Amino acid sequence: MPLTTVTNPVKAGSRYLSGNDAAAEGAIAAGCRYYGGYPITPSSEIMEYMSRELVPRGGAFMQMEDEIASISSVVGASWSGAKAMTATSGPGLSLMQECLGYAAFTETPVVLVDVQRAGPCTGQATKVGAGDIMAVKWGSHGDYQVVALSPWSVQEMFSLTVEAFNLAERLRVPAFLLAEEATGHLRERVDLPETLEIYDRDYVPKQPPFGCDQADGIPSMPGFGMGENLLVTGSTHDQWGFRKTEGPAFHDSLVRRLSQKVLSRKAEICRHEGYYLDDAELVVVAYGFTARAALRAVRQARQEGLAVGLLRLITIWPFDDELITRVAEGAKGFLVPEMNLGQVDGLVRSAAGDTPVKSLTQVNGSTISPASIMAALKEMR
Amino acid sequence: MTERKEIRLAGLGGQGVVLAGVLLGEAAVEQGLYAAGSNSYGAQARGGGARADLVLDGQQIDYPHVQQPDLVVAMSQGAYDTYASGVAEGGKVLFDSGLVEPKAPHDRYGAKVTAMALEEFQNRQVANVIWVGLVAGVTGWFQTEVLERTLVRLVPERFAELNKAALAKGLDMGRAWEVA
Repeated sequence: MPLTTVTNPVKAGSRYLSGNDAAAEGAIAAGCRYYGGYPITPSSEIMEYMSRELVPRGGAFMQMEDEIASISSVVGASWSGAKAMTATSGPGLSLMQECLGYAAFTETPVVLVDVQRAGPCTGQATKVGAGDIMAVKWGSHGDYQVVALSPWSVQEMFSLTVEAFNLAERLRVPAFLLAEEATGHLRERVDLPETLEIYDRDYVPKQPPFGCDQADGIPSMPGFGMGENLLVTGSTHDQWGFRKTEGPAFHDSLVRRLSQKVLSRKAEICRHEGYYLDDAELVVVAYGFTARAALRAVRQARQEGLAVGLLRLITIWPFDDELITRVAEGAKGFLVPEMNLGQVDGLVRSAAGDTPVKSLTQVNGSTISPASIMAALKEMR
Repeated sequence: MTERKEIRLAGLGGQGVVLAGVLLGEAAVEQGLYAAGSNSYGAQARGGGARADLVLDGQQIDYPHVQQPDLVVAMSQGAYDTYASGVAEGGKVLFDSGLVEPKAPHDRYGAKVTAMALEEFQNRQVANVIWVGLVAGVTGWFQTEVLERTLVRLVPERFAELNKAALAKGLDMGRAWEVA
């Protein structure tokens, strides 16, 4: 089933919303009908909003005993046919990792909003960070793929939550809204559209729910109560869900397909924005809130006559290394400012070829200022 | 308004700093402006430092944090000491002259807002709404009827008239400052 255009169930027009509230509205607009969660700063407002709004608007809400139960309930709700979500931060993400792997391996569409705070561990719970880039991708054991989108505004806390649902449903994967405290707690004008593009999961009766002929195929997804003899297991399984924990071919083809169904569609999934790239010699590669400081710095630098541009990554996972390679061909250097110790910097380096890459890191619990990015750009000249 | 403007409201927890920022932000968006607001406050509900920053623009805002405010409102001595000197050139520092001893002689925008809330309105809680009126009056960046509508939407119904009167008081004083 392709994307369908539906009337936005949320009243169109301009509103002044916090990022966390906008993510909750985006989820409801996308068709989320189950939220299971455990509150944790700085994501708690999403759960508060859902606790008020979801039931009157036709969904179900559960406060679970912890994050392990939260994501497990979301997986269960998804197999019962509902679009389902949870939100968390910091240590909550760590607790969700085992079941995240279960969701990936059982091809369960789930949306997780991670409002990143200053980690590791309990860290500074109310302060901003962006240290979960690798954790959302590699936090559970084994090989699997997820989708992760990085909003830079309250507008995108809404629109990318909708997109996260669409990608989760279409690809049957866990999809992250990889937000940051600075965006979750920012209040900003949001222009809510009249219509939305929505993807509802594909279902063909009596088709195998876990297998395809294609090496990158996405199987039909039934739900409990739909008359299918449905088996869902976190052990290696055949196309009908029967456990196959011995045969090497079952494991090999399943693990490869789960990766390929995402990686072979990178061109369709990955999105970015470019600013002043046409003649840019130095390119800032940034994402999330930091990209807004970068845009400000790039504009100031342009006024001072510096040939600099901004490449803003909207999709973090799957990582668009071909994009980096392409931009690197015309660039004399990359600057990668991040609120972590260089997690995306490493990815950029591996795709940048001979183009030098400078990492600007800040892990003091505050956002990177335009002035810091400007200073780093001047050092690179 | 088409140019970017930055407002910083600062005081103590419990003074309604955050709500004042939300009120101004909501009103700005209803007027068709772009607005971005961020808050900073301590863990305690009352007494710690509280700050509400607001960026306004006629076009999309690239960097949403305040860098050099065009207007600083200092509702406490601590807020004045921390933020007054950071105001942009040609900007204004408003302060509660009942609570703040100003250090710069050119800071002429002082009003005993907390005392006024207690004496004229018998309610300390409306001080932040007087401040909202003062900000709107002295800057001219906000439409009165939109502010009033936003205020009525955000406060409990039984306090609507009280808050409208406090807003009107602030607006009158703010406009008078500009004439003076």
